[in-house]
Amino acid sequence: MHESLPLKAHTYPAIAARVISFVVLLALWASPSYAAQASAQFDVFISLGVPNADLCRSSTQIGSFGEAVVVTCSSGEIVDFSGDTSAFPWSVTRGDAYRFATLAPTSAASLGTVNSYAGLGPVSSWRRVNFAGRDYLELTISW
Amino acid sequence: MKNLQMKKLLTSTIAAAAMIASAQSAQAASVISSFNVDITLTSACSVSTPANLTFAYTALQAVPATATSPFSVTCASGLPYTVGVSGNSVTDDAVGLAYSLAITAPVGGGTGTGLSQAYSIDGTIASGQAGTCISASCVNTAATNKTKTVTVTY
Repeated sequence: MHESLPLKAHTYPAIAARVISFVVLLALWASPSYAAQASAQFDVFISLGVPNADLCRSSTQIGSFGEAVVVTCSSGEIVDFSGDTSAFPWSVTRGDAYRFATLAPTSAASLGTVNSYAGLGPVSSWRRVNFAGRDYLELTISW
Repeated sequence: MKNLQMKKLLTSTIAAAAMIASAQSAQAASVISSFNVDITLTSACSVSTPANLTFAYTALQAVPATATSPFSVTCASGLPYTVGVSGNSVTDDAVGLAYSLAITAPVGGGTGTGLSQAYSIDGTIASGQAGTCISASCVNTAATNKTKTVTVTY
């Protein structure tokens, strides 16, 4: 009858090292032995055109009445509104605006009576817009 | 006379026997030693360079713009592999258009056959994008993120 001898304290590090080595070897064995790659490069070329109808943006913020406003369009053309505007003066606006659009009536008879009024208060403007062969009535209210 | 004939017959017989004996001794004995032909094959893949992907886009256009570029992958027969492309969803830093790239794999793609397998890179620019352009048209020649890499991992 043999008695099991207790492990000596200095043998634990050796056992731990062997266990770690075994785990590392097991991991290496289990993992793919290689992960090689082959690659090739190419370029993505983009040609961006703008529609015939220009996209225009104001380059200045809303300022005081009478201040020159410069609008730059995507075609590169700079439109200056600081010229003679006496015929169609710009309305004074200080804030945002709401814009509405609806299909325009096909006959003037159905439009009814438009009550025009100009005075202090919100500014409204109307215009008829033709888009994709159909007429729209656009209303803008600003203040 | 008869003795002379007998002598010739005997001489011929002896000569024939000697020739037969000589012929038998010319048959060489064989000693066999076999060996193997050992071959170590390192698996590999190659990928062809795709043609450049070219888009033509009109600002705010109503339908997506698409472009396709074919390429091929050749891998050792039976070798599994994956194919990917870098920067597959990105906004071009020159014209400000976002686009996506995807790999279209053939039937049986992903496992080498030893032959060329046809793939394609399919690019899409979604509709409705304004982009960045201060003139009537712009190209992304100056873009720093226009070069992509297609990678085969095996």
